[in-house]
Amino acid sequence: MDPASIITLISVLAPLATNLILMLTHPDGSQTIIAKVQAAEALNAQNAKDLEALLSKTAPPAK
Amino acid sequence: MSRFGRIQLLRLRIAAALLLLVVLAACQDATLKKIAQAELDVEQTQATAIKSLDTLYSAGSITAADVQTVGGILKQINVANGQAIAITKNLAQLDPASRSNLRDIIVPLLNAVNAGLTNGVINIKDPTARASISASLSAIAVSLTIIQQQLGG
Repeated sequence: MDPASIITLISVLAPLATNLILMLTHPDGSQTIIAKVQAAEALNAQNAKDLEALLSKTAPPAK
Repeated sequence: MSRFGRIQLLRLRIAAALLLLVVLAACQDATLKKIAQAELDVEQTQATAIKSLDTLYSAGSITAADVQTVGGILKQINVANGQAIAITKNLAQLDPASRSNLRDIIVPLLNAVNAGLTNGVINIKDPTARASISASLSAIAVSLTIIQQQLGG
């Protein structure tokens, strides 16, 4: 196999190898990150609603 | 150098490059994971703080003005952390531009929370209520500091 073919083969295999090693070294890796960000996003929206309701409830009466 | 030797050298270089790639990917993964966790922690603490404010107000431990003051700080946190989450959501890796954008959100927010701890909570008369709200804001400041540290500033 000539060097150019080896490089082509490696460029295809490298991302797969990276993901495989990441999965082995970080079993909960990127999936956990996505899950955490999604949970944070949902909670952020809920907190915005709850906070708005509380601020409206305690707002000084309009003059 | 023989053809065999050149191929061996090439293999060695490719293996070294792969190893570097894996190490870099693992580091990025760890950094993003810490940022995502801290953003979630901010929201969870904020949820507790909002409930706590509501309970303390209903019990008469704090005034409506106190709720407005602390609620204003929580609103700043909610908006800014929402922006940080939106950036993190789209990241496969923490590139310099995203790092800079996140820092532009987190650093002023951390300053605002610290200012709130110094000035916003001080007028709350009930010591138990004051301690409770301070604890929530302090926990949020800790999470924001973790994000700031991960961003390298």
